[in-house]
Amino acid sequence: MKDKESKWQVELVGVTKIYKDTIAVNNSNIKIKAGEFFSLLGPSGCGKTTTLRIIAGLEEPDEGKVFLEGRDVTNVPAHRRNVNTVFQDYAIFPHMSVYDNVYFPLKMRKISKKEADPRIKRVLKLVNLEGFEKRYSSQVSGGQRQRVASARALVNEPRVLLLDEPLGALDFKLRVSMQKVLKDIQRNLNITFIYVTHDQTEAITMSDRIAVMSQGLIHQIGTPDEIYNNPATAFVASFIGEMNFLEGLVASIPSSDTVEVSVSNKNILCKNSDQKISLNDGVLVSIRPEKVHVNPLQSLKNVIEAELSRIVFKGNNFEVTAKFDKCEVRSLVDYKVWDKSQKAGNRVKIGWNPEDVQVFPISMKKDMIQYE
Amino acid sequence: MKELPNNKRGKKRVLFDKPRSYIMGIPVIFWLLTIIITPVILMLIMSFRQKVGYDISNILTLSNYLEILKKPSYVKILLRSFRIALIASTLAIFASYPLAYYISRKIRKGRHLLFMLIIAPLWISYLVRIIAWRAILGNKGLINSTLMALGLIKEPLSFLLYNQFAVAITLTYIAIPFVFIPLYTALEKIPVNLIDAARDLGANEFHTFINVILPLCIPGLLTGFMLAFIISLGDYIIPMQLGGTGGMMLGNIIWSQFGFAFNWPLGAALGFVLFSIAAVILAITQKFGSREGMLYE
Repeated sequence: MKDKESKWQVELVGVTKIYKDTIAVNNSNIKIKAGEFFSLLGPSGCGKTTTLRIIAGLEEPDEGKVFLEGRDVTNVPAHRRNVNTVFQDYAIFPHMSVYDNVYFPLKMRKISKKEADPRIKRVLKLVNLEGFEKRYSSQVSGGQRQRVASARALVNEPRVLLLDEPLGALDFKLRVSMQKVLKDIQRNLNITFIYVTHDQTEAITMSDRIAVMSQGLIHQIGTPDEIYNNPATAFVASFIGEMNFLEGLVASIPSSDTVEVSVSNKNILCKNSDQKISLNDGVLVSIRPEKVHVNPLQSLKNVIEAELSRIVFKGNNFEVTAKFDKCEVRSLVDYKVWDKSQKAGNRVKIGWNPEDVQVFPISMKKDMIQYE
Repeated sequence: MKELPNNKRGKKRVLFDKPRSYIMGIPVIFWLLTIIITPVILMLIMSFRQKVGYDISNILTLSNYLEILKKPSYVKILLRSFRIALIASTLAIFASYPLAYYISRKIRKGRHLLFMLIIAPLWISYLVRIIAWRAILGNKGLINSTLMALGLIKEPLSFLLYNQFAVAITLTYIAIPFVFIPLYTALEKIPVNLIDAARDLGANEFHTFINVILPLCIPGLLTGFMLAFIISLGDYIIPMQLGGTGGMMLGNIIWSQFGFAFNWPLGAALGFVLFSIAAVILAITQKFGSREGMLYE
């Protein structure tokens, strides 16, 4: 696969980067297709920015190789790689106008200003920055600065655009509209985007595929659907979306695709997703709140008696917390479906389907994101 | 220089916008008046008086200034002082820049130690450092004795000392820490991500330097140059110790007017000429320096 005909646009093979005593990137293997929107997702300090900088050539890996379009670029310096980066704080040259910032990469390629002018105008139009050519970075807003950085990185028409938390500094509304702008650019220009973010919603809504990272390790690479519905590790399950976790012991393994877990003397039937689990193992049982039904109308295989402990109105739905013994289970109930006469302290039945429940070995608990 | 941003031009800084601020400003005004403004005014008045015998008359005249213009030697020495100061401050910039660049951008460990080493001479007596240069440049000095010991020369080189060359070299040495400090500060302040961005966008190390680093340290460069130039322009101890007759500078003339010539009014007039030149240079560099600095946010 490492020949010239490689179908991968970007390929990382066993890339490791160590800073003093921390492993920033631990034996990363990533393959990215041409034209793909690929996200590196994880909490801060997980190594996603370092991975991006290694692809850009701004950081040298201690081990492993980087391939761009099948060519080994591990030792090629940043300025000779056909990738460009949109930096987290934009890194706009303060002594140059917006126009000169966008001209900079073309100037470095010895393209005259006259020749570059139509390209600069086109890319400024693309990011909707016409009329701002003469301004300096101190004279434009945060959103505009973001677009200057994007225009500057795009003007060279790189094969791969690297984006390091490009929308992290913007407020919510602006972020959502910029997500659309970036996604449109990516689709229209058919450029490979490698997008670093700690915002799971952003990653899920924009990406074709996501690599979820924690402490230098890639936990899972997959489509947003796979990552949401089939998390590979307890960390991924805890990091992406909302999740209930219950601790228990494997009571029986009735069939190859199901396990029965005893959680404070109640047996819960779970999906056995190719984990090497045997009888009496400690496990984490995970269920998404939206899959938990309160007083279910249909018959479900897992039904537990519980007591309502908290009801929180969240606009279009309610977050209902039910307790049994010492376990708490949160459930998201649609506004229209929820019985508004219910109060905390009421006895209810909670239930879910075994297909919606995943188990992980208890050893994975330490990697989980702890929300306190 | 780049065009000034519109919103910056429109903005006016109001120093005293509340009545109470006046009261807060009083100590500053008092300090400025007693320490800076009054002595300058006294010197200005002195420059318009005249020496009569062993006395100084109270009649104000322009005769001192006319005498400066009339005597070609004063103009010649003024121009020479300019030239020496210009050479010394330019040399100091060229000597400090690589130092500041490497220490601020390339060295990670021991950066502060190196910084302290470069400014350490400031703690040593000015006079001692000047005499040390005489020991380096003299007939039996370090350079001559080394060259003679190596057999490269038979007679000591006499052009090293007691001329303009010796003055310029020593002024350069004295000015280096004053140039180094603002340069180092300006270079250190440049965000690393701008350099990453330049590399990422296709600039090699040389182009990054020319297009990003150099323009961003212009304020530091100007401040350093200005400090070196003003220090050099007014100096009189170095030309006195190392300049000989050919290396005399305006500072020496002023010093002698206040000394054995006992012509304070002429000395004050010469001093005021020097002061005005320094003020003009300060104003020019301030203007460009702060402009560049303002864009740097």
